[in-house]
Amino acid sequence: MALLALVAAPAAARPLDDVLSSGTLVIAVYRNFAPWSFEESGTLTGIDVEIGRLLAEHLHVAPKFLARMPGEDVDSDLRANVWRGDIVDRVMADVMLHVPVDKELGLRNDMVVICCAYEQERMAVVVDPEAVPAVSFGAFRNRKIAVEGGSTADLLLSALYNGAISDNVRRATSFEAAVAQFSSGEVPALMATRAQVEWAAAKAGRRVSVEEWPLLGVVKTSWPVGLATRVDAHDLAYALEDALTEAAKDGRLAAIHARFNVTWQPPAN
Amino acid sequence: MTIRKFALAALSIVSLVAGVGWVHAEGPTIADLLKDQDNPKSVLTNGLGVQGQRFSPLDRLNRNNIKGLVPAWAFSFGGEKQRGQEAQPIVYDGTIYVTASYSRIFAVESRTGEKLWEYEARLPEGILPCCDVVNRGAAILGDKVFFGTLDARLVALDAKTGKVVWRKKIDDFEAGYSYTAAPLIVPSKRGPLLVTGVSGGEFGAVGRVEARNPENGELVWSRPVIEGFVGLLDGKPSTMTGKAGETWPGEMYKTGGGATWLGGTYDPETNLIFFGTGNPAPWNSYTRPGDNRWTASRLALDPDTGEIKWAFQTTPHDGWDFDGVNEFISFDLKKNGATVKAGATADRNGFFYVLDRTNGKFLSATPFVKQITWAKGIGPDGRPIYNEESRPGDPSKAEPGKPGKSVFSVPSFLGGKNWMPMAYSKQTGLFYVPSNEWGMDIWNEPITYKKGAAFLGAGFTIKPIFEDHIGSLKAIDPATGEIKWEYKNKAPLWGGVLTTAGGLVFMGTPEGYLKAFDAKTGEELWKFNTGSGIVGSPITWEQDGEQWVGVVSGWGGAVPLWGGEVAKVIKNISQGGSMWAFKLPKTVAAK
Repeated sequence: MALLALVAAPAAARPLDDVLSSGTLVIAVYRNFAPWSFEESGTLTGIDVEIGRLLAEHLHVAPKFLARMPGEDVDSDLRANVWRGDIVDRVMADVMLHVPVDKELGLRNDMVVICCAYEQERMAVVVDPEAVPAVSFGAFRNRKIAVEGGSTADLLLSALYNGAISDNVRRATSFEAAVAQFSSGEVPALMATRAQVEWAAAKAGRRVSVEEWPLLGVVKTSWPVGLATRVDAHDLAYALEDALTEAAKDGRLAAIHARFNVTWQPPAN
Repeated sequence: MTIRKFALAALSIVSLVAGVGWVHAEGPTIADLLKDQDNPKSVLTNGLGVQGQRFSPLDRLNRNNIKGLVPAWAFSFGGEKQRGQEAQPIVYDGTIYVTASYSRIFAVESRTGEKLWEYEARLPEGILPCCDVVNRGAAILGDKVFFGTLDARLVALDAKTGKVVWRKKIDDFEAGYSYTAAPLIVPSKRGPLLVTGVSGGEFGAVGRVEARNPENGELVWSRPVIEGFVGLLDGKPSTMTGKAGETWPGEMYKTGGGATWLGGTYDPETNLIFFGTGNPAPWNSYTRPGDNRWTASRLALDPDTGEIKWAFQTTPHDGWDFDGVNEFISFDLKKNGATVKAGATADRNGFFYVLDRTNGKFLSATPFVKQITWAKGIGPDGRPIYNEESRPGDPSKAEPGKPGKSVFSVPSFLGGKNWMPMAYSKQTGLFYVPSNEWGMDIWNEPITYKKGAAFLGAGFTIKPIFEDHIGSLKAIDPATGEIKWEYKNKAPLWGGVLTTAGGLVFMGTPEGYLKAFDAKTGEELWKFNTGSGIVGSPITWEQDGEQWVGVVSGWGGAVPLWGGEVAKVIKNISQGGSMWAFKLPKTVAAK
């Protein structure tokens, strides 16, 4: 009994202590995921990267980033990035950013704590207002729209109006490639999340319009994102939640977003 | 060892003196590879012969003396990476070349099991190979051995030293590409070519078959398997595969899938390379009405140019994840007194197909697993007679936030047969097919996320059909489709089969046993527990006048990752990583 207590107590407290004593907070972000986490001239940058720095600063430790490829679903990302480690050397992070805060997802992944929503993601489109003078997705019955293939936008548009506009959906092999199709004027519209769309709009170099049109579908069109730690690191999650609450209040979160031409969307409760 | 080194040094001096001819002074030639099946002293190709029959003419070992088969040595791959050993070893001139999980390859002394050299690819952190960390084997030609790595590279190593000769990128691992198959070496007008496919790949990946110069890894030709894509020959665009958009809506073909992840076989008689292709993308079949060619198909390619000579689609408009990658084995079909140049394949979809290998013409298809639901049968034209009720539901018709209708479908997406290769006996005329009797509940999952965003996923649970077994090794008569015998195994089978002229069939089980069966009756004659589950393919060879049998042991592969309810029957299996060699001592054979 005494032995069990001895073993259990430090195990529960370990993650935050470990992070503090090691002097480093290891943060997992997605690779090639503009404007959240992406490389620019060989340097990792983005809104999530800046948020990661802010979290480390709060703990008075140095941030170390793991830029990870996405797996088939977020469940497998949590496995590879937070609780079991990557498939080769079992390397993992103390905290993973951009994890959807969803009760079902949390119940399914009992090896992690998902918490601390810092953002509300939702779907939006950016259009050339002259080429797309419409107020609904019906405009794409006879116009092209670019999406990242296999993304939420792709799923929504492919199923819309019983697939009637599916043939006009240009499915690019990456988000960057979809942005390029829109930026070059080759395609008059792009659909992605609001932050992605605003980021692309700033890059377009011409007058464009960001819209949120009514959308029905079986996929959610809005969801909060937060962070995940290992299940035995509740204390770390609490500390990071404090950091985010402060940054939301004092305007640092909004400022970080603004640096990437994105409007901060506070999480809807 | 010193003497050996001296001998090598002497040999290289002789080679230098010999001048121009030195290239062929060491190692097997393409001619040796083509007659691999007839020479039991070595195993030079994946499949014990380029046709992939996995039939050995060795008959020293038979049902009467198999009890005398004893372990000669075991070799541990070492390290902490103990899982998923799916390789078939290569044997040449007293050396065994065997690959291991996590992109490792070992050269081992074939009589003693002593390690000669080891090469471990430096893998980038954070890679996400789709289907575990396996490697299925190496290829050998001349003084080099070749194998592929999880970060989608091909590596050529000096067969004597294990030093890298060249290393080429097949594709970008960051886009989800990987490589796990054993490369294939084929003859062509310009000399031998090293032929590979691609594994995995995220959205936008399209399967292709590629041929390289084995001397330097330079690409010779590339053949995309999806209609509308143009191939490459000598660095220039060659011809288009099929016609753009003929069996795909709009531009969906551009991201059509069809990964060629399992590698191919070659038939010297028709001079054709046979490759299988994976399932179409995206998984939701309602977004891509049409046959979706050439996904879930078998292709016959011209080794000189990479042109498609014929193609046969096993699952047009796939909606069940029935990859068509399983091996196509050439054999001579004797039916009604005539001999047909045929080929056979046991598909994920649960049907055993026999085709005319000269032109791809459909000859027959019969079920090799029980209670198939997705199709009522295969019609006289080779097309499935679909049971549309068994197609997973249209996600766009689902109620928001609610799971869609659940469909029970047989076989499961892991297939009536997965990657594990079957064998064909020239002696009995039967195919020995490692199969699994399982189905799946599949439904549209409303709460899924991908890369931080809401997503529509498919939920599934794999379920055994029978209480006492999932694995089933079947002997099939290709002339009639009749199942001559069946061996039932509790756990799902995931390793390849070997058959010999000694009237034997060898196969490993997840429970750890290497087993031998009577090829005519299926009677279990011998077994030996290797200490971890077997998911590799056994080999046999002759050495010093004795018959040897070898197999790798080390549980892993897709079953432990995706098993669902199946997990119960495999929960006590330990991981591992070793190669076992057995032999029939002369004294026993003489009895």
